[in-house]
Amino acid sequence: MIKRLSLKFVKYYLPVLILSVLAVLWIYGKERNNLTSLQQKELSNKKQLIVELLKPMIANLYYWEQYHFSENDFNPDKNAHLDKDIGDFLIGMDSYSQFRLINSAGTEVFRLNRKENGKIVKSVELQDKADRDYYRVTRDLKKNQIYLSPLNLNQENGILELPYKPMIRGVAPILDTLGNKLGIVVINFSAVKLLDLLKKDNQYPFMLLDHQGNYLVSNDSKKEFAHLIPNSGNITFKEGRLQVWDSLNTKESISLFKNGDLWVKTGLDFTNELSQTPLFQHKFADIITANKWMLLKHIDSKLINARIKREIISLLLINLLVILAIFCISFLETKTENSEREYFKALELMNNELEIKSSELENKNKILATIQNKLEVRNAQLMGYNNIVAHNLRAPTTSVSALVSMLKESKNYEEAKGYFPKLHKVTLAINTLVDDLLVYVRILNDGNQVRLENLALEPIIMASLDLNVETLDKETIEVKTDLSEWKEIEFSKIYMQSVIQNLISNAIKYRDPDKKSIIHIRTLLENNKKVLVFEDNGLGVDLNRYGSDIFKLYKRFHRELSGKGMGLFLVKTQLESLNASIEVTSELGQGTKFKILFDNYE
Amino acid sequence: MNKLHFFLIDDDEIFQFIMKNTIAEVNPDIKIQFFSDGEKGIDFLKQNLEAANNLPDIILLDVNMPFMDGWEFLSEYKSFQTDIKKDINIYLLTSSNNPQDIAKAQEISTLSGYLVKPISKDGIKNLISHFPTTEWYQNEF
Repeated sequence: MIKRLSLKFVKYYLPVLILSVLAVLWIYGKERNNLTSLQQKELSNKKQLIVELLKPMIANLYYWEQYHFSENDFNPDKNAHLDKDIGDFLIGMDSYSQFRLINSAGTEVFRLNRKENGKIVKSVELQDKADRDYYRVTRDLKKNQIYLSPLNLNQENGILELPYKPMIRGVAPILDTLGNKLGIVVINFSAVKLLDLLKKDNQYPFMLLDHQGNYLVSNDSKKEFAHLIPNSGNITFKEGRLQVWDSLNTKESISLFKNGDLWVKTGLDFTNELSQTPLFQHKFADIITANKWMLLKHIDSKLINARIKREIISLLLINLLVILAIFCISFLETKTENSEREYFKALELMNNELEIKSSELENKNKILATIQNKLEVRNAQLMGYNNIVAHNLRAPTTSVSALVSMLKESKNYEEAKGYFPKLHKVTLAINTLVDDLLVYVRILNDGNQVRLENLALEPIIMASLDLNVETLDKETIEVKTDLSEWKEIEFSKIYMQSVIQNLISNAIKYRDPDKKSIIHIRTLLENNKKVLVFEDNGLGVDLNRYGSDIFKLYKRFHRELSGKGMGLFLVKTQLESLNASIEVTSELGQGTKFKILFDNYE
Repeated sequence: MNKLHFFLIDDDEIFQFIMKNTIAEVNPDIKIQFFSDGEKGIDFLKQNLEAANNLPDIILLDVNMPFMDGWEFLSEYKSFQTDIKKDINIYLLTSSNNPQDIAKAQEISTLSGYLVKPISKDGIKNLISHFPTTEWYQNEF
């Protein structure tokens, strides 16, 4: 029961399980793809943001490059007239924190600062920037070239300004109308706002790295600009995750899984992105910069799993429900099958019973058939009795009545006396007939009460032969017996004696005097039934002529030989009363063969 | 007119005696000849096919006889009937009113009638007065 149940359960649940696993894999894959493309999109937006925020600076630098500064403008004592123009410009540009003009010697000649409160202040103190790297790089900028510095922290007088002020310096060369270089214009682009924007609305950790793997933006703010802050002790991204770093650098835009974590990267090459900025009359900016940034999203495997956790849980729940349902179905089905099996068993039992009953019925039918057979035999016997009474008894009685009426009408005693012997003869005949009929009727009636016993055939045959010993001695009659097939039978002794005596005396009486007589008595088994055969080589009877009359009462077929015509009639009647039967085959001059068939006898 | 000539074929001696007496009482001129079984009757007829004077007008034939019964006699008789130089009427005699026997008798064209024993004087008279007849005779007994 449990085995069948679990088998059924497995059969039903296995497909569901496989589907569930496939669904999980599909969800997982889809989630990853979704996540990747989503992050990719976000990164591309951020990149766009950076580019869009930087574009105005390039335009502005170009504007100041084309401003037609004069030599005087690079003399701090003569350039006060610039205050208004540049100040107005700077006020509107709230992400610009400084505006400077630096002469060819590396000394600031004009400087506007944006204060914390947003006010623009002209700096009286001008610094010498000849040693600073941005000056050295930009010193040789040619006409129309614009330089963008790496994202740095602002330094004043060679010292990091606190709080840290991340910024990009944009530099453009200034030439006079003759093409002589006057100096450079430097605009400090405060990246605070840009970085704030980049840090905003990040569902997953966002990082901005420079081309050396330094953190510019990280969810761990301590890591930011660690390469610029002395003694910060923090390591760069490249140092921390060299493998990931190498993999990320294989492509401009890439997403990859490392130890279950998802990394999504988009590169930002300033030269490529910003050189496309149109400046003036389809002229493009010639950007000089080393800035190659990496926008990076790092999604921890735990977070990914957490994302699909809900789906997995709902799938698990569905599976649980399915398991429950399948269990119920399997249980019910098994139960139904069981009851079906029981039903079939019961049916089989009933069938068996029916078969038994049918065989019983068959037996009863057989018995009935036997009884019917018996009844038919009995009926035939009664018909025979009827015939005897009708023919054989009626004849003498009518004769008596005829004689008596003659007697009555006789004219004298002499005449009457002549009738007496006739009357006597008739009454004798009637007596004999009535006696014979009595024998017959007794057999008919005794049929069911006759005592059956186990008989040995041989003594009975011997006794019958003894009765005819005189004839047997006088004549040359050979009697052969062969009782090898069977020797004993359950039958009535009296009937058996009568049958054997009659058949032996019949064979002796109707022997052929012209040849040596042989009487052959033997037992046979035919279809497992006992058969007793009496065969002689006597006169024989023409059965075509007499047929079944041979067993009828008072039938005689041999004129020369006296016979009452009672013997075979008795034999047949006695055998039939005990469910045996007799058959005869005979040929004139050849002999006669009687076959007694003992049906239903052991 | 010639005297009527009867054959009685019956193994019952007493019946032979009774019939002899009865017929003599009806008409002493009637000639009657007895045979104790069918075979003897057939043998006689066969030997006298041409001798019309020896042949009967009427045969009274018993059904039940040894060696050759009435039915056998009739089938044997039929085989040489056309050779007989006289019209013979055969009446079947039986001791019973057995309907099977009557039905069987009616099938046999050779038969002129059917009589049930015993046969009274009136019966004989009737037989003679109606003779020759093709009608079936119904005994009053």
